[in-house]
Amino acid sequence: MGESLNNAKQALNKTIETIGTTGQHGIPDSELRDLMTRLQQARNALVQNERKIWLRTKIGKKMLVEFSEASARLLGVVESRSGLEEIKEALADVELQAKRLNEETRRRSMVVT
Amino acid sequence: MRILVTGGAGRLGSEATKLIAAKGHAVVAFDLPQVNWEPVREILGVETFPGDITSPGDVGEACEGADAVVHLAAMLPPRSEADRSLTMRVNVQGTRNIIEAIVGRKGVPIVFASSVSAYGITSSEQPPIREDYPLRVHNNYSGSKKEAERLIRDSGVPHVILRIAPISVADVVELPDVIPYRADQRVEFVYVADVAWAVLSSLERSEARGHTYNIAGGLSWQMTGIEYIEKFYGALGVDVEPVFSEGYTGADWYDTSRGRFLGYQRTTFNGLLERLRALGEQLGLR
Repeated sequence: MGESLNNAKQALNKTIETIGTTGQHGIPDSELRDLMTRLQQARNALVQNERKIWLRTKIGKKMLVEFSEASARLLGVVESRSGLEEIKEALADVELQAKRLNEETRRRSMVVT
Repeated sequence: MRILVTGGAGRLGSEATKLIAAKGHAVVAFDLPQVNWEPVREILGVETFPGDITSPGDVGEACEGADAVVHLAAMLPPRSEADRSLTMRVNVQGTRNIIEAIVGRKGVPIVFASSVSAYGITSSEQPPIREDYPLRVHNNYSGSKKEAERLIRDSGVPHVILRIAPISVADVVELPDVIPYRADQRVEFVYVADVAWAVLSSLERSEARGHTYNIAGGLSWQMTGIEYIEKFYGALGVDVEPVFSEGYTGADWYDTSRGRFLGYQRTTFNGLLERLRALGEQLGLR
């Protein structure tokens, strides 16, 4: 669990740093700001869920591997200075992984009536 | 029989829906359009009805042709405590909508999921808490359940009221930041499938009508808060660092003798632990 989680966080941090410091040629500032916000939200999903019990299960570990792979793909796209549409496509995959994490945590939240 | 189950896609609702359908009844599972319908979508004999319990139109349409209603839809803690107005709209107005939809159709009974939370904070009392203990509102949720019970009793609709204890599931459950009971507080949970049995028996056994029952796990489930948490997560194979409430809350030990004829107490606490151990191994936690 730890390795995939750290890989995913590192990839997202590096993606945020790369976009933040160098920008992407041809992408308007407003679009860059939107990308940064979405990236930070995806990273927050990782940070907020990293101590969840279910992430220690086989199901959780598999989800983290998928999150890590999607994050690495996004970093690769950003580092190759690809266009906005390619970045958005790769980011959408990361966001899907973040949504799955949040949904699984919500589903497993203890409810005491 | 054709049975409407409100909250039918939820944790208890889907369990009740499956059981009622397995007994040969036609079930209409009513829940919000945006919830996860997966647990009930593929069950034979179950029709899904996406709708809003606060909408008299949705509820009226869903109740058409129903021979009985199992009313489980509710705002639960902690969300219920964040918005009193919404909680009352869902838990009280929602119940009123059901009553108004069936009151003119004589003989359509309602099985209502109330809560032991309606007794309020009983930690200074001598347990177990019986059904005739006075209801004392201590939060939005308990207030809404007390009021919904009153509406049902006053409506003249044939009814069974189930005051359900906190529900336990054999699954990996995340701990909240603060566990909503003290470490040394008396707690008694009940297994989710057993509550579904209580619902089914309440529908099928006419002698249950007009009565209120505590629905809780029984003697093997009566322990303190810290015992429950340690045994639950210990069986899963997970180390946890629980933070318990500093004050007493609405959980206690309950007298379930009145409703024992419903035959729902099928799972002992050790039975839950066995399931958790098996799950822990299956998921690689042990």
